[in-house]
Amino acid sequence: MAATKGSSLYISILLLLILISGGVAWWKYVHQQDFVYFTTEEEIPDRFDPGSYSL
Amino acid sequence: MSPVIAELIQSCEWAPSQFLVISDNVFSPLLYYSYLGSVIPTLLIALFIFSKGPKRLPNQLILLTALSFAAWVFGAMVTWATETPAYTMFFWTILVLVEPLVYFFAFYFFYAFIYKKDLSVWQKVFFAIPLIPVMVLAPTRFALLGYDLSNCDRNAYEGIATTYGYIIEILYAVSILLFAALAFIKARKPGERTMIALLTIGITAFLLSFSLGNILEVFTENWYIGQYGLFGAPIFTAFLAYLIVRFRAFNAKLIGAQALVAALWILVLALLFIRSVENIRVVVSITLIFVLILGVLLVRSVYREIQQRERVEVLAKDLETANQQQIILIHFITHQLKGFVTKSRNVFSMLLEGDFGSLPDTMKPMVEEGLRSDTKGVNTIQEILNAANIKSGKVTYAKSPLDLKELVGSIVADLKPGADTKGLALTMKGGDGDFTIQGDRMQLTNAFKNLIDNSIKYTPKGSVEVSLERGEEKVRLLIKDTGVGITPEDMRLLFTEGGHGKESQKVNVESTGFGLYIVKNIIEAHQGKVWAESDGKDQGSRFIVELPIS
Repeated sequence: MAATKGSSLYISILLLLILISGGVAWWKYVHQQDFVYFTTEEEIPDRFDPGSYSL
Repeated sequence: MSPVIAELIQSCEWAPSQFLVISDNVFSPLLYYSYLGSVIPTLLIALFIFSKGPKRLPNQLILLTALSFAAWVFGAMVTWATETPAYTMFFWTILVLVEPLVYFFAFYFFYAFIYKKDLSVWQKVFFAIPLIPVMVLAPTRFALLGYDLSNCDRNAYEGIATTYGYIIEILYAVSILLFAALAFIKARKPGERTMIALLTIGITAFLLSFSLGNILEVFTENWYIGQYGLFGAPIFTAFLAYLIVRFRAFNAKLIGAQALVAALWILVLALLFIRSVENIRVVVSITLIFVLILGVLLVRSVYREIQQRERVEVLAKDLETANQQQIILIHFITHQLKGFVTKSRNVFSMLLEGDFGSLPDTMKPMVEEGLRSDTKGVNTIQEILNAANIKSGKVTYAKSPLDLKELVGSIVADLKPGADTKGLALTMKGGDGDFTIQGDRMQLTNAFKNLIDNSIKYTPKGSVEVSLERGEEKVRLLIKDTGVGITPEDMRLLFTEGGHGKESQKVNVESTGFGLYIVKNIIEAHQGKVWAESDGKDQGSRFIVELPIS
């Protein structure tokens, strides 16, 4: 079956969103070096604890 | 970066990486084997399938699945190799982003391939929505909480959004199984169920081993397990290769041997990257399994190819014999018919000439009609015989110096009474100079007569002009009429064997369609060329013949 305009648009939107998200990650982590270092095991938060995500 | 962090990083003594992916930080060279050995065959087969139908949705989706998988593999290799925390964080985010995408595209491909249709708008929305949180949260703390420097393992610490990503992978995998089950139940055509089952096994093996490998390595902290998980990808490609060969899937006629041998080359080549004996044992065991599976497929596909080729050869021989017998039969029938019609024509001719006494006036029109009809019949049969002789190469050309001006003049003189009866002005303009060429008088007479007679037939009113021009190296004969013209559709059929134009048949229902085919062959046998020009319907035609001067 041939690809339609609908399927091409759908795939393009998804790929664009991935690119934007990847671009933001590049800017944040590589360009701004904006991330936390955990130097000891005690510093590592519980990923399932909502408190770990306070902005 | 604070001095404490910098000091901690330095104390880890990580090796510097080259080209992002090559470094001694990689815990085992097995990683390169498993990563490259899985991604290269997957990419190769996906590119092959895509090249066979770039506009087909399943072909696009299999390529997107392979590219997402390749992006994941590249990202994973960087996270293993790099000593730079920022790169680890970024490429780990890429893993979080593309891993569910591999599942999504694999599901979308599976659906489009099995159901031979696109997802509906609502299905598209339903299956895209789970990806949105991953895309939005990937560059945030929800995906990666931070960089773990507590143990020098160069790991990012994953957040809840990454766990969510793993859960939606299960959603896509389960959807594949559900849609596979539905398609399997509905399947009616022979072989359809086998195809669904094989694709489902292949794609599930790929996705499950990929997931299980990743999950188990985290829980067991045995990093080898994750590497084995990637071997699901080449297994999937082996299934795809088999589907291509077995069911002619993706409209591609892949010779099984090519795909399988390529996969084997890559696997064996990858052995060069292994240094420790223990790893060689592992790798050789995996390669052996591959060789066994691929070998069986290879032998079977080659066997099938040989069987098919032998069958085609037998059929080709049968077809040739049948064709030959048919040609002989047609030749025999047309010869016999020509004999009967010629005899009948001679009888009509003798009756009209009074060889059996004078005819009553009431009989004369009937006998004249009989003579006309038989003459046409003989000419038609002769035309078919001539075409058959030309095609079988039985015609020989007795070339001698020939004055074209005299030849064309005599043909025009012969055909003039017929043109006059139709009320057409048939004229001839001969240029100055010598028009002698090397040619077969009888065959060229036949060709030119055919062309001029055609123009007369297809011109209801007006004129037919015949002219000869002499160039430096060739003579040009132009026959220009004010007739019915030739449409672009009919123009394509001119000069072809038995080619009848749609419009021309309306004017000349008795056309055999062989006349211009014979003309073309005769002219080409004289190293000349013939073609037609027309501005379209009712715009007249021009037939041009060019012959080299001797």
